Amino acid sequence: MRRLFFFFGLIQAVAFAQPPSKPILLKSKNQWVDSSLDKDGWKYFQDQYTDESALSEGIDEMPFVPSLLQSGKDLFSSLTGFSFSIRRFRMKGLSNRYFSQSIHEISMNQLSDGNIPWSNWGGLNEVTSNNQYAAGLKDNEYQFGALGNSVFMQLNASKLFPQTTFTLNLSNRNYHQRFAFTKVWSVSKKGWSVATSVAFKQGIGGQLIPNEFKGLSYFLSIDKRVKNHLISLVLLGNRQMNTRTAAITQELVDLTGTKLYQPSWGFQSNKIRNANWQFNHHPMLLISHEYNLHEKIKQVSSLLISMGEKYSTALDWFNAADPRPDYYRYLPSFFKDSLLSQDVFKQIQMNPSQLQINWDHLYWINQNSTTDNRARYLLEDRVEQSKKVGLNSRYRIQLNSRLLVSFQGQYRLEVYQYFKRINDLLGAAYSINWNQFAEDNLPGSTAIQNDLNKPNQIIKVGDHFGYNYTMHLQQWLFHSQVLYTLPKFDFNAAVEYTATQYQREGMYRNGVFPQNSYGHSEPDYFSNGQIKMGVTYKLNGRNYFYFRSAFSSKPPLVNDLYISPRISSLKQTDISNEQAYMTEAGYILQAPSLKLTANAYWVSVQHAMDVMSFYHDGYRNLVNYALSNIDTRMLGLEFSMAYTLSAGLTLSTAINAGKYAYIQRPNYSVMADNEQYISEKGILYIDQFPITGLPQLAVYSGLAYRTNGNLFLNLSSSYMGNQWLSFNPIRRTYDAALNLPSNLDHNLMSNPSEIPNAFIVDFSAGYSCRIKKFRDGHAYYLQFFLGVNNLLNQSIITGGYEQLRFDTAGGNLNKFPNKYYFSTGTLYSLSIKWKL
Amino acid sequence: MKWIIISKVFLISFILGVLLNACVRNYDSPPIYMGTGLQANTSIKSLYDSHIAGNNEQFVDNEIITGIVTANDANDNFYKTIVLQDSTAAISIRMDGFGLSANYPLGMRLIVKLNGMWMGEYGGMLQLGGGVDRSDPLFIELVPVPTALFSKHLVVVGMNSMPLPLEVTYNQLHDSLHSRLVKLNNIEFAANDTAKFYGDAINKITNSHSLKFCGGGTVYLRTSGFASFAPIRTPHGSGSITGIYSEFGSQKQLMVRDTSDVDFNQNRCVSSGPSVLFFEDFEQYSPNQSLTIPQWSNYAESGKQFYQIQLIQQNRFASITALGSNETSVVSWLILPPIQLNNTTGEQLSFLTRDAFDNGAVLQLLISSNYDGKGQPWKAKWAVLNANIAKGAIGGIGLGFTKSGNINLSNYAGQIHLAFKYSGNDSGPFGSRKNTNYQVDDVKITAQ
Repeated sequence: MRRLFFFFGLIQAVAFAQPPSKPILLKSKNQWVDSSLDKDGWKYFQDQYTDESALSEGIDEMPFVPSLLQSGKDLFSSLTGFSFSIRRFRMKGLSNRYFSQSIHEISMNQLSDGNIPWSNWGGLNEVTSNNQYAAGLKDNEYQFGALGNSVFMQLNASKLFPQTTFTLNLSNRNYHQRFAFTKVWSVSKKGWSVATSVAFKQGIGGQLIPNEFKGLSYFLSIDKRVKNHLISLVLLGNRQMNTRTAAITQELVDLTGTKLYQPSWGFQSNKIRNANWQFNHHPMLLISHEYNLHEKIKQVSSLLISMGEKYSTALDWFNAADPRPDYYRYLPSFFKDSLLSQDVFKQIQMNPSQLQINWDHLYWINQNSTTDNRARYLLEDRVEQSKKVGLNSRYRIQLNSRLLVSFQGQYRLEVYQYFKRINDLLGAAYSINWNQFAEDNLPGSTAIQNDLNKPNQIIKVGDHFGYNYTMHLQQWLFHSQVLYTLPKFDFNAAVEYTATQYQREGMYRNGVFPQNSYGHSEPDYFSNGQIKMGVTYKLNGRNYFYFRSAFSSKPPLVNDLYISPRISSLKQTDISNEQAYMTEAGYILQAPSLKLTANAYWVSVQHAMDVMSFYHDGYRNLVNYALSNIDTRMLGLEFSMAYTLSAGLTLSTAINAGKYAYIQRPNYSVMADNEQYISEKGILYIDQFPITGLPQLAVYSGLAYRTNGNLFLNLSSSYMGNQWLSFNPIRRTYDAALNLPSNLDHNLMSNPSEIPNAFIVDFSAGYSCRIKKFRDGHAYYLQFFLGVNNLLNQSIITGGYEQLRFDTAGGNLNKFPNKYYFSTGTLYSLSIKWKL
Repeated sequence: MKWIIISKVFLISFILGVLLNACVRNYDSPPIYMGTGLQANTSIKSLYDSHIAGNNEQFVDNEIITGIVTANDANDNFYKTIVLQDSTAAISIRMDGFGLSANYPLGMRLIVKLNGMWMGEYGGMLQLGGGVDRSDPLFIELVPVPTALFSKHLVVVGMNSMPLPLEVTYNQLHDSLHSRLVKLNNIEFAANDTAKFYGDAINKITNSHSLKFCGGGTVYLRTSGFASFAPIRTPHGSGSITGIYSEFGSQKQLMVRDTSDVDFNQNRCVSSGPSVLFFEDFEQYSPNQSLTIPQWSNYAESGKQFYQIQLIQQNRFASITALGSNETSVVSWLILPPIQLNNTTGEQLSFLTRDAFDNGAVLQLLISSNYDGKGQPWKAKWAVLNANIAKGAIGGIGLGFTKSGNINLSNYAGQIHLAFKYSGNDSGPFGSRKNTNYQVDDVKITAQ
């Protein structure tokens, strides 16, 4: 999953913003202007070096200094978006919920987890690059925005450039070929605009042996303009099935001699089979209506209807050995006895297939260990089905040339159903809907029943089992903003109010929680608000200074509210709204040959909540860590500069220097899935711990060469440091410290785990040629773009985590060592585009 | 024209989608395992013969044994162990990991390549293992075979029929039978070890119960607290028992694989005063929850009130009240597991009750011979048994538990059900409400 988001993040990062807002500028641009729909390089390139629209306005020596343009990515993001993403850089160290994306003004951030479901529209790069972008607290046309950044996507056919394009992509990423066809018809006399795009992506094998990718995405957009109305209909979707990648320990790297080892596959009848897949398909239907009801008043309304399913597959087992070949008990490091450890090491060296899944053996056990072929192993789907409805309406009122007021209201209903489903019984005849973990604790009782309403249910392929519950989530939002433009100053202020309702509905009456698992739970209501203000001082058309500040209150995410929603409606006891304060100040220089931005920021997030669930060896069960009162503070500086030398050479640099840290001691409590009580609680000693999962120091430097329009080359390097692995809370508790043997270094256990600094080199090149020109002026073009990531072919650690298990008794860190994701070396993608 | 193109493009994309869907790969299943060509070159008995008492010995030659799995961790009574038996002897193999029964089900013939494995004693019993832990020089022990080495040492031959257990008398129990599957006839639990839990499932402790041969001699049945049958109570009668024989020091011990190994359906052979046929003191169950005990039933006929386990002053008991239900009629049944009276004589029932805030609700003891045990007890025929039941604690909880007196069950035969039936209400004017709280404890049936 992470891989996927990472990948789409990449695409998103390189995908450029919006078409020029003034058509007149088109003429002054080179032939690449109309390639604003290109995904890969051209817009990335343009974005970085030729923000011509801003430039041409900026150099006008008018007494009225123009405001900074809304639209495109700021210099920092466009320089760093592609290169820093290998280490999962997030601006300002903020969590996912502070980055927002909307389509036709309807927010895509899921109410369940705050994440943006990129893959729902993935693969449609030709038509999804019409985006507006607002970094930090910068004002935007549409919504309140987000502390991190916000992207506003427009999919109207009439706002896309008329074109007919065939694209072929070749890559060694998780897909290997992509074919796309896009056609955008020009507006008909009757006011109709139509655009369609279809793309197919696939890949088998490659650098990771078990890799497999299949994706089909489709898009249709129809606009009808009637007088001052614009009515749009958009249908899009991406149906995708691909394998997931697992993080691995250093021991496995040493054992196999490769950082590309993957544990989740094995041979079945001599064919490669992967146990970990993911599927995603969420078709979306959007209907929107833009209405200029007065020369000063514009109304925009949108309706979103979406439903779909995503699931990931995994092995499940009952009364049988763990089938995962990288299980720690199967590896040499598990054995204290050096002789035994050596034996195991030799055995694995001589039989490397022991480090892959033995599918044939799983089948054998399923068919031979019981008389009636009850499944001991099965492949399960962990399914999330969702239905979403969104309704948005916005009024934009230009009271006079200086004062702009807008009002926005939004309602969202999201219903998620979560359950497990049998994907494959692996040769067995049936399974029973039992909770094997409860078997140990309460023998013979009804605790073993996953669903007391249907005890001892026989389940087969396609049947639900395990858990089954629905989350009903609703949010009402009202937002208003004012923009006031003076000759030397711009002021903006925005306020937002949200009302949020969460409710769980259990479809199963769980045997361990018969009283609070079935039916509707008590709903939770949250009222929250956000407010922000900003001022920009426009010294002249080249120099801008700004200062912005915001206060934000958000409800806890529903996934952080329920301790274990799979089986019960129990919630965290300490429920609080998440509050954030943010202030940023900056300077922007927009000169013809030099562009520079500097932004200093301070963010404080308080009372955040979190729930982590994982399989615990000691409890032999899923265990949930519920964290509350998490306070973090992010402080930093973003600096970027692009200097154009003569002869098409551009030097650029970007620096993010941040200090992102936890600043209080959060509360934690531990609850196992098969117990009705909290088994541990206390405070986490993580004050001043770094925020993990992203580089806090990152430096980009690039050199680009560009000839007059049909060739560009860009060589860049990125240094990323000060990055830590996401940490295991249990190692930072009093209990862990108490049980630690006295001869062990206390700090070794409690200090955060840093990962090595990375230095990578990226290269990209683009070339275009006209292959045929017609008399009427239009022509056929071929465009090539090559992007090479990680040119030095390094296998760097891209991320990872401390395992959530911990050897509390022995304090042995190597029992459950850190897990890492490794980059697969040099990645390229070549895009060939034929434009008619 | 444009619409035709658009619809064509869309049609194509949909067909592509359907094709993609059809491309999802179907996995076929693997071929059947064909066995191995390996042959044993030594017997299990010769391992015993070559062992020097007190030593831990590593196999360095290519010894190969074969045998049939006679016990494994299927019901978690045997922990990380399988027992392998050939025609000469049997031996336990300590193996790491859970779910060994999936890999090595009962009746499977295995070949064990001993090279690299170890042999040593645990409490005088010879075992095979993967290594030796010498970290405590006073207590050197065998280490289980690592899971990663299973495939190195153990080769599956195929499924065999289980060997017949060796039928032995007390005097034939001998150290040559270590780890053998044996059957002991004419044997019963000692009177004070009947109606006890096989294992201590709450504290996860192994229980040891004495088995008495009718002709004299004691063998101890040891059952792990992790065993799935640990919370089942030991039977009262006599008969035969099958299990894996072991000795710990001088004590003769037996471990069963499942309760089906215990076939005690004849009358007791030693009559030495009353023995307990059934006993429940509720101390093993979590308080403040609806009572759920295996084989017991807890039904609400009307009023949706269930018997609960409650804890007062370190004592747990079953409790029922209509209070707080606001129901016009509360009728709740607590039904004991079925009791077989055919194998015993002189059965007597006794229990304790206590009342609280008594205002006239009724608790009755009922007996039925025709209840089928499948729910809806109110549809069966029940008779009231006279018992002394607590009453009169108007202002609070009764001072102590009231003894029911000995209730004679010897007039009944065959399988019977006993039930506590509570009748009350919790609606209407305050004075007319009958919502007494009744508490039941120490339900006991004895037999001669």
